[in-house]
Amino acid sequence: MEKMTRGLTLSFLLLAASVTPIVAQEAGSKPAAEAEVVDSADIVLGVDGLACPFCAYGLEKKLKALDATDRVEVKLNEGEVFIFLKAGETLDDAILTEAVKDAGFVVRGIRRRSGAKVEG
Amino acid sequence: MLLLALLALHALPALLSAGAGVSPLAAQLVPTRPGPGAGPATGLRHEPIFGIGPHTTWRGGMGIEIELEDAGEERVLPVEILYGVTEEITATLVLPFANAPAGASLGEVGIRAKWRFFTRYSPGQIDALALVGGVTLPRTSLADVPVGGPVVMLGLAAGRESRRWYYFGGVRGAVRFADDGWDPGELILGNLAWGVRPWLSEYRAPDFVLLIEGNGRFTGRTSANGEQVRASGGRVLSVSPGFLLSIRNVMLKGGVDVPVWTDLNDPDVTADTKLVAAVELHW
Repeated sequence: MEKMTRGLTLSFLLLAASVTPIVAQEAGSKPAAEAEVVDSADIVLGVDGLACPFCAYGLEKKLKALDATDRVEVKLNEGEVFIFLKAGETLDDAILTEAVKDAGFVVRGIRRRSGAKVEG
Repeated sequence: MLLLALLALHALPALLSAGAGVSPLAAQLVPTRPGPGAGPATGLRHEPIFGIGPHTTWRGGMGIEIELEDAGEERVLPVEILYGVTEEITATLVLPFANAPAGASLGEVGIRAKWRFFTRYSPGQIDALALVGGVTLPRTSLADVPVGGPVVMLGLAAGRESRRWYYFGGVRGAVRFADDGWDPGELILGNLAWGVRPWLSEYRAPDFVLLIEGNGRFTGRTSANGEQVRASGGRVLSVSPGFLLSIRNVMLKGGVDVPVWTDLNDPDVTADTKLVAAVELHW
């Protein structure tokens, strides 16, 4: 029984240890400066239901899966998602709304960059 | 490190089956594994550790949760693999590897589905209701200990998740079919949970939530060949503090389920304090 218990405990610890580098790397990542995110994003989505980082991951994944998307930043406290598009690419509202819906949220509003900063 | 962990996981069934004997789990008449989703449930978003919540994962999303449960003489390692069929429906496969004093085995394999049929969104908050259903297959390794037939579970979960506060409530009922004269009693589970996020961290920062749960369990009497088994069934109320720590798509969780009131038909049986630690990964 002790061997089985050790096996179970070791397996659990191995798996927990395997995710630790991921956690440490993420903790060390520096998010884009707030001014840069706000002023240079091509699209800003207002998203309702954004309560926690763990659930926001699916939203990031769905939006990054779109061909036109280069980068996604999420600001939970404002309930906004900032999308940076690849050069020359566009995303229409229907595609954005569907991606947000598939992630389990709803779009509250969409603002697009026009000229120097996002308008809306 | 990840490869080693996955290899260890693959080796687990062989490790556990070596020297497997009769587990006393079937003889525990206040069972610790009453059915799929009735024990520590899959965490989808932030959910109670010992109860159920209403959340689902995103369409096409996948996840794996590995738990370590320690309840008295029994240790269980449930592995749950989940898939987002749609953004409102999530399917989960439950593979519980159990280790008890008399032996180890793959426990009752279960399949569970959750349908989030109601959601209300607002800035930084989501309210939801979900139906949960599942089937658990009886152990096949316990050839000479009666365990009953399959278990069918149905439940309802409600929850509010916001940036600062969490509120959950749920109720589940499990019908355990008879087999070979052994008819386990029905099972009803209820849970309430409250949580708080002390620091409103942003997306890429570690996120910490404290939970406190209240769980109730009623187990009906078991019958053997038409006669009620005296030492079976009862009621247990427990309090369960826990925590959830996540970064993006990785979550560590842990909690302790402490019985605070029991009314068991067999006074010689005690409800165990249960410890749970789990790691969950979504992708």
